[in-house]
Amino acid sequence: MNAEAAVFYVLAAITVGSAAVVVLARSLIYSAFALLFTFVGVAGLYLLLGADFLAATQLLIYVGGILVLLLFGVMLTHKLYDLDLRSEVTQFLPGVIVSIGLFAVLALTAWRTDWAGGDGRAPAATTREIGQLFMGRYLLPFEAASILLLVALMGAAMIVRRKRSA
Amino acid sequence: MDFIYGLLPADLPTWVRVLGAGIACAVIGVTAMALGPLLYVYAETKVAGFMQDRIGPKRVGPHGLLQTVADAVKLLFKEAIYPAGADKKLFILAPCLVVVGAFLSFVVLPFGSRMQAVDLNIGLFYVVAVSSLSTVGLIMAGWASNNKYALFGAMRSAAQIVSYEIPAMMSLLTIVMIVGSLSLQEVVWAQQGGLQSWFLFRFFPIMPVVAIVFFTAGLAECNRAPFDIPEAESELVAGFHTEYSGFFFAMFFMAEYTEMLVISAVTSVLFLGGWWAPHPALQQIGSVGLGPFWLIAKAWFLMFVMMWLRWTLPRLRVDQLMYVAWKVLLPIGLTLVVLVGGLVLWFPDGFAWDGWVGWPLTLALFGFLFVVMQRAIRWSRKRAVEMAA
Amino acid sequence: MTPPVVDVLPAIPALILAVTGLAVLLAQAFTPRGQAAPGAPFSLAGLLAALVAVYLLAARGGGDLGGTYVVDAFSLYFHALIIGVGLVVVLLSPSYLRATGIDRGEYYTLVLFSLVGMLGLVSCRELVSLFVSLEVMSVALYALAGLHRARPESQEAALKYFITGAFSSGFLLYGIALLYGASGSTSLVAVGAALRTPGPATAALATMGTGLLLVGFGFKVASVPFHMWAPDVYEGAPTTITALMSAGVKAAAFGALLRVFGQALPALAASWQPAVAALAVVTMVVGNLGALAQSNLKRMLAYSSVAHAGYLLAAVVAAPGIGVEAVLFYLVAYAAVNLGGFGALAALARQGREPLSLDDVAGLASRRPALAAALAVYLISLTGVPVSAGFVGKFFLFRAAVNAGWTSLAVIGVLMSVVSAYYYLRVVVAMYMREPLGEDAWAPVPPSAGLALGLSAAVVLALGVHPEPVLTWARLAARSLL
Repeated sequence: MNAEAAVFYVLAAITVGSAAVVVLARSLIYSAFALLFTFVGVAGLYLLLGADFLAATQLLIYVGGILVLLLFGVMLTHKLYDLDLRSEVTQFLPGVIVSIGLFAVLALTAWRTDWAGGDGRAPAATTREIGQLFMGRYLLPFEAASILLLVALMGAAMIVRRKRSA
Repeated sequence: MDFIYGLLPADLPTWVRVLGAGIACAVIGVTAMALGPLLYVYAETKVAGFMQDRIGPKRVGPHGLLQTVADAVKLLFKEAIYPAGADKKLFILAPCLVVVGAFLSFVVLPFGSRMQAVDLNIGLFYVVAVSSLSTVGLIMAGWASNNKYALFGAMRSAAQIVSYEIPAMMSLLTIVMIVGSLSLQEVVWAQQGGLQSWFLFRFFPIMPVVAIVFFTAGLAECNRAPFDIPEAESELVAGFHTEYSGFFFAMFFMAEYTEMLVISAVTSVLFLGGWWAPHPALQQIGSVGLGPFWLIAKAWFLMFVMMWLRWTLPRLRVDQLMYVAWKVLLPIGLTLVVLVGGLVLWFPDGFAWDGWVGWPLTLALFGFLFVVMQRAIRWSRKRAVEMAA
Repeated sequence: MTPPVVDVLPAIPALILAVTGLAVLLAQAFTPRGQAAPGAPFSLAGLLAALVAVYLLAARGGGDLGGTYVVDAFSLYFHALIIGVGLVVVLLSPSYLRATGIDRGEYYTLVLFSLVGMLGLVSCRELVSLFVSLEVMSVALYALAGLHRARPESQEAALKYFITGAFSSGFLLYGIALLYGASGSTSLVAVGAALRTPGPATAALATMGTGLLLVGFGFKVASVPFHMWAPDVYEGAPTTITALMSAGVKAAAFGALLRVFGQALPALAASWQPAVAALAVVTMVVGNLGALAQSNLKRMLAYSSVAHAGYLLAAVVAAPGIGVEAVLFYLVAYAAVNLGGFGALAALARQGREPLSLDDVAGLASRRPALAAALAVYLISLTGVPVSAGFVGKFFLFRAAVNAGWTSLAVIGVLMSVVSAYYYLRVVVAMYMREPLGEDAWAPVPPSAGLALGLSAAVVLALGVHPEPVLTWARLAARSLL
């Protein structure tokens, strides 16, 4: 096992382990904080793949933006400590069967697939290329994403806004 | 790192030299970062004293020089108190995250053409990205303290940082557009040739505005006055670090001053030529490069400006704070991005007056602003006295 | 460093709509408090301009934007359909919004943005762009579904739609990721080429990806077993938005489905055709049986839209061949009918109430003869009685299924159409054969809504009598897909 593989396994363990905490933690706040390590782990994986820009974006957007807003939401939650997040389980057995089946199929597929690998060399600086692609080939989805964000903003504002006092 | 690598004898095996250079770098860096705040706190108290017509610390050591050392020793030996009901794991993790977030930025700060730990391709972006770790740390501190003032402080601070990050990014973007790279080293190289080619003095009426927007947003991002709502003592005791004591409190303190230094250094790199001297003749004495000296001098000057502002301006109210971010700085920032984008496209060589006319004009502008502000403050004081009478 | 040059001309219709949406938003922002900005006229102008742009683009022969967005006959066909749907919805809206007290400035902007997403959805030739478009459309509709803040049903609809929608987006995204893993590209053409010569190693991955895509699209077109959200959402959302969802979203989702499965996955047809066929069967059966049990008209129409997704899927089974043009034709007929059906309910809304039960429409023929006639036309067309667009459309759908060798699908479809006659005609009977109950509680039909309803009825009848022009166009569009 070379150093790169070792780093990969460490990062993967951090990512998956903290993701498990996110799902399994009883307290919402622990889930939210565990998410920090998931995001950082993913950023590390990007870095390992030579996608430096993507890694920084991951940190900036997910940690600096999404996680902070998430924490805001969690902290504004009323009675955080008494909150029982578990909803009643109505279809336990079918749920278990479907999810285990789906997991088995996906795992088997992933296992048996002969993944196309790169040539093992990290790509050169990615920033410029990403910029060129966003302003060129992917201009439209890039712009559409800005509309998407605007729509989400408007929708959120519309749903939370107090009723007009009329 | 390259610099130290070059100093080590060449007949050593490469890995020894790399390792040695790395360790030396880390030792020097961490020590400098950890001890820096001692100096800055001393400077702060002295500046504060000067502004308030006091002497400041003078008992411990000559001119009170050892005052902060004594304070630090006291903090280190104090008991770390865990408040009742606090979440101990998160309570300890929080200051660590904040410090890590503040220190990580140093990796890319260029102190000279070769004196830089790593010249990351995405340097500027990296600085912004790692600082978001601190934000999470702040919230964690506020929550883990099990104290409502701490929680309020943390939430205010997070809201403030997230809000002011946007105008800061906008002004960063203008520089990135001009340079065409995110690497801090390349940003510095683009300002070669003395005072008149520093970015602050380019595109005369525009870049000074960019610099002011960035510096203001940076000030808010390190929760410094007049944007220190998160720790407004009259409302929130001490904000997110209300419950911290001893070493952990020292860590927050260290992080705050480190962040100030980072913001100042990044501002110097972006707008004041980084490690370039104001005149090429001053770049080195004999064969000794003065790059680090110039960068640190500029950064310290900006830190002095921060302290100056802190002891001059009154604190903003929460709603005013958000108003400034979203309705003043953000529109200005967006306009600047569009404007500078157009300028880069149509005037790739800058304006005709960029060379020798731009910088005196800019300095005159700052002088004018200074006088106006002074007048305004005097007027408002007089008015306050009248109102009171 | 030269910036890349992009020819955005093919995206002009979508750009016009997006800019109109922003203009409406800004107009609202600069309107003095307490007044409403002229959102509807703005939107109408934008939609008409977009329609003109589509016509001009068609005359120019379409175009291509960096390989991610393509305007061929197929997307032009859908552009015209979606913009038409938008026009009708905007015409229906002002009176409905006033009657229900939800006249908000954001409404038209969100409608326009969701239309932009639909236009993108049918034109994207690349999976990431496709996903972004899908999200633009969906997110706008999540918000619109919850527009009626005072009504708990509307809130429930928004929440349900959001959660199931986000869930289905996850499936879709997972499918996209697996397809990317199998082929190394997100471009539909490249994926198609890569899968044509499958290595044994990637075949499983591609099949899995296809299955997940099918689940994702299944949610969006509301096919059984992914239909649970549809009745609640259709019932709870403002009726004009329900019309937009049932006509526009369904059309856009089927457009994307056809393009993805036709262009990227024809090589895997042998594995997805049976799955789609199975979906079609259960969708037809469950949708129609579910509709039988409904007393609420909006829920009934919701289940009917589930059932119609089944009929459409039956033709999708025949997709890379003759199925496409049948689906395209039927989508027009279906959009007109649904806009009419939900529009008629919306047009009668008054003081926050609208007709929802059979009793509410009893004897409508004697009070609003024109509206009742139009509604009858829509319902008859939904049933598939001759001389209506529905008949012609179903004929082509089932013929496509038979020609592709799926006779059983066609048989089930016809049987289920017969079942559907009961619940559709029950409404017609109530309108014409029963005496009105109580006072006339309904609004007089406003002129703009009347225009919209008349337009849809005219389309339904015209397509029933003389389907040839649209059919030719659909054929042309279907050919451009291959």
